[in-house]
Amino acid sequence: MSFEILNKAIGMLDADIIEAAEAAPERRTSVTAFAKPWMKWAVAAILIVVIGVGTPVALNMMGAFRNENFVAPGGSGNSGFIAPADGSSESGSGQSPEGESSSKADEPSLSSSQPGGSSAETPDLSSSGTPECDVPEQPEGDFVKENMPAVTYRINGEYKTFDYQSSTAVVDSGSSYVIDHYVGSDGSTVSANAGTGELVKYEKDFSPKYLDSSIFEAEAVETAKSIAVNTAIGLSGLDNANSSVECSDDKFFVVLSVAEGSVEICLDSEGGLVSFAVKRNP
Amino acid sequence: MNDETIVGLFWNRDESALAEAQEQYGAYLLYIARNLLRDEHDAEECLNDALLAAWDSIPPNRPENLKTYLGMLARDAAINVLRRRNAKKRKAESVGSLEELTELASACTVESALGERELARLISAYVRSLGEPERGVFVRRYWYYDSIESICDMYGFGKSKVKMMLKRTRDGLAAFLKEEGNYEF
Repeated sequence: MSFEILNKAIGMLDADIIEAAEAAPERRTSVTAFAKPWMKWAVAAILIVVIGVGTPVALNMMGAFRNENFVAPGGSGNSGFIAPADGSSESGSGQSPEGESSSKADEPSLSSSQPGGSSAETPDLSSSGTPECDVPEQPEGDFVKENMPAVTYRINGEYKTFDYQSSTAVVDSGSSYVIDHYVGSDGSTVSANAGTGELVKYEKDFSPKYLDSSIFEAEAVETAKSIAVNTAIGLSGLDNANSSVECSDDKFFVVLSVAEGSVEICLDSEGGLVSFAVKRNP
Repeated sequence: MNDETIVGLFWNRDESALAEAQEQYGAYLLYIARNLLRDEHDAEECLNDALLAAWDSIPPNRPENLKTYLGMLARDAAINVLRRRNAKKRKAESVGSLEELTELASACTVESALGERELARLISAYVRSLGEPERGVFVRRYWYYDSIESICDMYGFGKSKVKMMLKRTRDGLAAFLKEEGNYEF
């Protein structure tokens, strides 16, 4: 087939397809539609100022409004963010009052060493759209991070394994609640109680960037393996080599490791070979 | 003035059709020409060629969608301008989208007996089968000749993502043409 024929045929694409493509990017380019590039930064700066100043003012006004008009019945303590008139319950922290039992029928029951004593500090899993979780699989023995590169939780009936991602973090200075973050192969993350492993929060990351890059990386590894195997470099077992991949904007750096050594392969975004290096173990 | 009226002017051999078409779609046609030629003077020449081609082809043609029809003529005119420009130089100018199409076309080892229109119908069917944003990105790249950078700006994607998406779509098109059109890649 000649280029002319192919190009001509593409030129004769159905009109509705052409017009749809013309319309589609416009929906996404409101920011780039500014006449000058600096305009979007100016608008962004104005928005930041408006939101920064406006939000606290609006929240204060809402708080004043609520306190005046919608005080919960005294002593109930279950009115969400609104404190009862007698002040018997702290509002908005998401914590149960100290000493109160936190056991709920559907809350995962995780035993073993609980730092800070009461399990009443466990945040409510039902808040902010977090999916309900079934019984998490808790490893036996102490929950030690170093021995715990991955954890498995059963979430919405499905077992998900999460790799350890970062060290502990204090999420709430008020309660000094310490959690670990784990990330799943599908981009979802969980936060777990650093002491007990108890699931605190689960979020699925729908970021297309994350999902796509992981797909590309998998493809890059397969391409690199194929290149390495076909290059007859004298290392055996490259088909099943351990692999690691790093992705920059335009390139993938794949390292394939076998017992005899490793191969470092750099690919461009279309899987083309950029560089190739073999290291043999002494 | 709507498309039907402008097409009517062409059919009646009224020269105001050219001015009306230019007023209505001149910027659109220049956009396509600039994407390929990257030169204002050549783009203007391409616009005139496209309007002249419309004058010569309407009648007998009666396009249902004048904008797309003129766009198609502008693409052809831009390719011709590029070819003339390259003929004067020792080394052909490199245009990314055309190179990608050339690569796809040259990968075809067995020609099908299908004509241009049938091939266009197959490509339309394939592009229609794509989801968004693949469909839009394909059309932006190979119909409007938008640069990778422009597409990244439009969709908010990174370069590697757009390149990868286009490569997959081209591979998919080759597979589709092989299956449906008896081409061999």
